[in-house]
Amino acid sequence: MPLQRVGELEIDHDLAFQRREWIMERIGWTAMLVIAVAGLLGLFGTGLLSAAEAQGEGNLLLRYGRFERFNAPAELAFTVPAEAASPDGTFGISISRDYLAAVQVEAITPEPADVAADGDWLTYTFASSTPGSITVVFHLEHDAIGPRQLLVRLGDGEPMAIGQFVYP
Amino acid sequence: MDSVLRAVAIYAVLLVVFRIAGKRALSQITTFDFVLILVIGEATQQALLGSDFSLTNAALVIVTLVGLDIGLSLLTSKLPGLKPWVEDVPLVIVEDGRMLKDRMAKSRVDEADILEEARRLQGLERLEQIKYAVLERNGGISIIPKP
Repeated sequence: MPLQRVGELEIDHDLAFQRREWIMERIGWTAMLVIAVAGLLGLFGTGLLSAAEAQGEGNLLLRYGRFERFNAPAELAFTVPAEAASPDGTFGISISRDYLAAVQVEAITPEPADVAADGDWLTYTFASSTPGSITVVFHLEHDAIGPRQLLVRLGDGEPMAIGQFVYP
Repeated sequence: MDSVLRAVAIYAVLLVVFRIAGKRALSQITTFDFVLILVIGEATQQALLGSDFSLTNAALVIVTLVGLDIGLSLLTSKLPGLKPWVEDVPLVIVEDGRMLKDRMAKSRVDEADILEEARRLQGLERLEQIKYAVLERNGGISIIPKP
């Protein structure tokens, strides 16, 4: 901006730009408010819009987050009904290996009795001694950014597909 | 690769957010502004470094940030039209002893702010002693007293 004269003052002001800037500022403030509210609601992970439940075959209930963040703690909570256990009291939850390749499993509670690779699946077998439903929680961290598809199945049941999005 | 991209992303986010916030935001007018700057730094640090606390990563991030800053200043000197977008423009808010209320309101500056700077910088006592006041790009107010 070339220097201008305001009275005796020599200054590189630019009123046309300044006016445009004020408009942009107001638009920006609105955008910030919208982003904060969206964040509060869970559009960027953890919150009302993110928390989701899915019901699969064999009454497998999965609670997960639609929106997750890169390298942040995430959870998959499976609730398995008592009748899903085999006669010896075990049940298996299988997760697609494609999905597991993009996450880091930090911990599983309760710990699985056995983990076995089975084609495209990794099957976690849990021993259930208590009657009634049991909840298994996978604590993970996402290692990749972008949309993600999670396939899970209980025992040999039909797989259930779930979509997630991982923010950078 | 990761560290460079992180640094570029953070640089861009900070540039946009602070340009949107306006000249007066966080110009260290109050102690709280200063604290807020520290907290923002703390929040930024994690995203910049991730879980990699190696010397290489830190050096890479620093080189990228300073490099971007140099690059941007070179670019703005080549393209004068870009400069106001990146660096803002100063604004005259008192002209020949007359306060320009509309500009002051839009920039979130009031008489008290002008008087404070007049006392601090020039030892002036009253508004009528001020000839010009300019809201500078860094959010400070320059005062030119009447002779």
